[in-house]
Amino acid sequence: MFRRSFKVAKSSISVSRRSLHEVPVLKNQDSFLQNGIEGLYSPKGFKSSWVDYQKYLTLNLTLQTNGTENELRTPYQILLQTAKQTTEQHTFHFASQAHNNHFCFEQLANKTEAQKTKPSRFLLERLADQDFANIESFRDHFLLVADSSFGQGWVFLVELPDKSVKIVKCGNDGTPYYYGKNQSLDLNGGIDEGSFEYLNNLKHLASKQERDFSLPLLGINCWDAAFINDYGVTGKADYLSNFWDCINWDVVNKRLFQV
Amino acid sequence: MKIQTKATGVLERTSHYLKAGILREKPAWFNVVGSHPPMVDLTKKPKKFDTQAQENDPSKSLFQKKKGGELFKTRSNIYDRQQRHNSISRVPKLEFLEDQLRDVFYHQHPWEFSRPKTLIENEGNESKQCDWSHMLQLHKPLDGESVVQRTLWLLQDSKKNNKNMTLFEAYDQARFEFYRLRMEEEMSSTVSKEESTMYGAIFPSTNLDWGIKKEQEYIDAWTKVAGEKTKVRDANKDGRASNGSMGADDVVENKQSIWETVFDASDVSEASLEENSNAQTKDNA
Amino acid sequence: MYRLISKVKPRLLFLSSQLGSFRSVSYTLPTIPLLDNLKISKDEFKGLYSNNAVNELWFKRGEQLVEGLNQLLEENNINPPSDLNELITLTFNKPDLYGIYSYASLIHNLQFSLESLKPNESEAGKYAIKKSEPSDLLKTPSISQTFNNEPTDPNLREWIVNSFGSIAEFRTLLLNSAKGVKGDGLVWLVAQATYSESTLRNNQFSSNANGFKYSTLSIMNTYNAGIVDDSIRSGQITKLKQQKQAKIASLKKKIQERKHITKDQENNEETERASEEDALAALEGEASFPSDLTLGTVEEAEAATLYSDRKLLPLLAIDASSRNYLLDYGVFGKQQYLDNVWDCIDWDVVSKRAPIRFKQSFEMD
Repeated sequence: MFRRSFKVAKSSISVSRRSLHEVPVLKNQDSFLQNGIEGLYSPKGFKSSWVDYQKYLTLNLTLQTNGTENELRTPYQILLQTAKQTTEQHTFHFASQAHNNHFCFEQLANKTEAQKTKPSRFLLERLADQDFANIESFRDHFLLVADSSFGQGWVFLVELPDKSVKIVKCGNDGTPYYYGKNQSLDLNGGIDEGSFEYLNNLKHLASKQERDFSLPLLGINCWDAAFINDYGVTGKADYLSNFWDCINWDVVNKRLFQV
Repeated sequence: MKIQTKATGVLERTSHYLKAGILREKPAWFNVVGSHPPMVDLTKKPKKFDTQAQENDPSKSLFQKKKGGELFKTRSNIYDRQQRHNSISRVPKLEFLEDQLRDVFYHQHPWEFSRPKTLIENEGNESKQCDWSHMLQLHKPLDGESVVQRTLWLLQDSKKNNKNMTLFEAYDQARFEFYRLRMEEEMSSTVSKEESTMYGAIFPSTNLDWGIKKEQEYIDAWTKVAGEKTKVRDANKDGRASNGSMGADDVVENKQSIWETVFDASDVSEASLEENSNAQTKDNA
Repeated sequence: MYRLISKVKPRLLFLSSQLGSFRSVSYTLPTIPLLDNLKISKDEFKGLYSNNAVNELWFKRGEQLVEGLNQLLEENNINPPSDLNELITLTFNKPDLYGIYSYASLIHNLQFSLESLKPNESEAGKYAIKKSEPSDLLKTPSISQTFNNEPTDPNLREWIVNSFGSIAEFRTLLLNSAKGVKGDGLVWLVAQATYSESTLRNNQFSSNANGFKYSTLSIMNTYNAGIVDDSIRSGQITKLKQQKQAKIASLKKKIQERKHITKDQENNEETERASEEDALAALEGEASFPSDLTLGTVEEAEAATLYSDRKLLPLLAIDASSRNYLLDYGVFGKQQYLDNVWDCIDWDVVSKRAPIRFKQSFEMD
């Protein structure tokens, strides 16, 4: 026991070397680069939405964080660290985007392989608690939220501390981990009473320093960068439905268990 | 201090005590520790200082024992003394253009000092990873040092291409590039904040909020003091004709506030001034 | 959420009722002659967009937006005005028509920004469209004081210089604002009215509605389907807050009144008067905050200063959304795209849009 703890301490020392933020390597990256993701991306499309876009995010993250306390942190840690800082929102953007993009790409597989996987019984039960009788009705609702929102963003299925699940729409670079930065509203048009009350509620929670324990299980990328290469500017709907077909449920199921 | 080994030997010692009958009952932990003894000896041992690994003091060679004889050299002779003062053995004053540039830059931009700076380096040669043909670096934050290094690069580059840039021109170019990038970052930060607010983000406590809260605390304290002072002044005005001005000071003395020491002094001088003027007016009358 | 039927093809059989209602006005994609010509000649928008990008950004996306707008109008049985701007103004303050407003505003913004541009016919324009590399993120910005496509109209030029300091400062601010936009959005050059609308309404400064006087130019950002006009959009949160406070106050009154009635039956008049006074005091206590000695909150300060209800007249819009550069310049290409946009700004159009400048003899601020 003593020895193990000693080893951990040693390895954490080598981690704390100063270094750059880099694009993580996906499980099937080589085959994806060569053949694309079957049923979703061409090789070129995959390269632009994962390799290039993630490179863009991590390079910018490096530029924003080098020489600061965030230098050695992972994008996930940086986004939590900067979520409440008003002057660090550009850093937050790159961290949150890098994390979300990685999160979404992790759950993708070639269509034929993805079709072999299924959402677990536990996940289906949780969904049934939210009145989604089967996975199809959940799919339609989930994709509707993604498709019907204007502008860039993400849609997540998150698990709350009481083990119930809910769909969270994150506008722009919003994050599912902290309610103050969910960015679920669009205040660019008229503001209705519901949004106003929602905002007040958030402020109330924040003033009590309420913490957020929700964790995402499933995410979908609605940014133009994710589909513009293969589907064009207007191809969001097709992209979303293809995305659904390429979800590797094994990954999603595992996220539910890990929590 | 003597090295404490008692803690690690506690099992052994206890079993001796048990055998000898000093202890009658096994302690509760005895079996557990007996079956899972500590794997690592956690006692701290002093490190021995390895003198062999040290390089010889070069000055010792001057005073080495002479080869054949029994004589030791105990002081430096004229020749040695001459060596000590010539330009080769004297530590030169190191002067770099960079230092001058740094001086100028940080003199012009003193607030750049307020940005935290990390001093940690992996190998000590991080600066070699930078390519100063552009201002932004992946291995180093944008700061005054960037301006200095970029200035030097611009100078060298202009020499190579026979452009004959002066030091001032190079420094100014680097400086303006630096401003441009800072502006860009600042704008990016401001716009990001505004943008996320438009999508419903909230910030529990901003720097401005904090500042205003602090300011309010001082205003509250000041309100109290000002109220008291006003009372005193009013009392002074009313009471002056009949009682003179002395009684009023007592009011301030009893109250406690952070301002007390500051205001007391002025109070006294003011009061005494007033008294003087009163006295004068009386005299005149 | 403004749409209930997903465009994503549902797996299950989905019976969506087809609305066959008749509508008198339906919008069509406006024509921009320049872009129509490009479509026919299959040429690129010199110095900015490839032909494919023009097709995607204007024809395909424009069509999609118009379609969405018409569909929503049909679903809501709305007979819209023929003018798109009127529709935007009408729907802005109706949150239940958020979808219609957004579509209308997006179409307007798209058209407005594209109409501010002209092809860059210079030699440099031929090579302007190229994919950017990761190393372009580290590119050092140029610090030169003169640029290719500067505004030529002397009046506009002078106005810009007076408002921003110099053309270089103006350009830097404009492009930096655009670069800072991370999601969808536009950056606008606007002319700002000298007096706020409320002042105009209260004072009899100028009785006619067109009596705005524009003295300064400014730069502002809008996101998603946001609109420029502060006189329409400002003060929404404040209004909602006031509504809420009024609601709470009236609720309190009601409770008090109910108490009165019950007390009335039991007690004599004197206590009634006392309780009435209490209620009044309570209400007053809420209303009259000791404002002289408290600073208030940042929020209040922002609400008071951030959105003046001054009339803003847009002169120029630059679309900073990522779709504009992703196709031709790649994910690293935003800076290059923005530099190219500057070279393609049609200053003639901008100066035509500009109102007559009102020069103040003294500062009113």
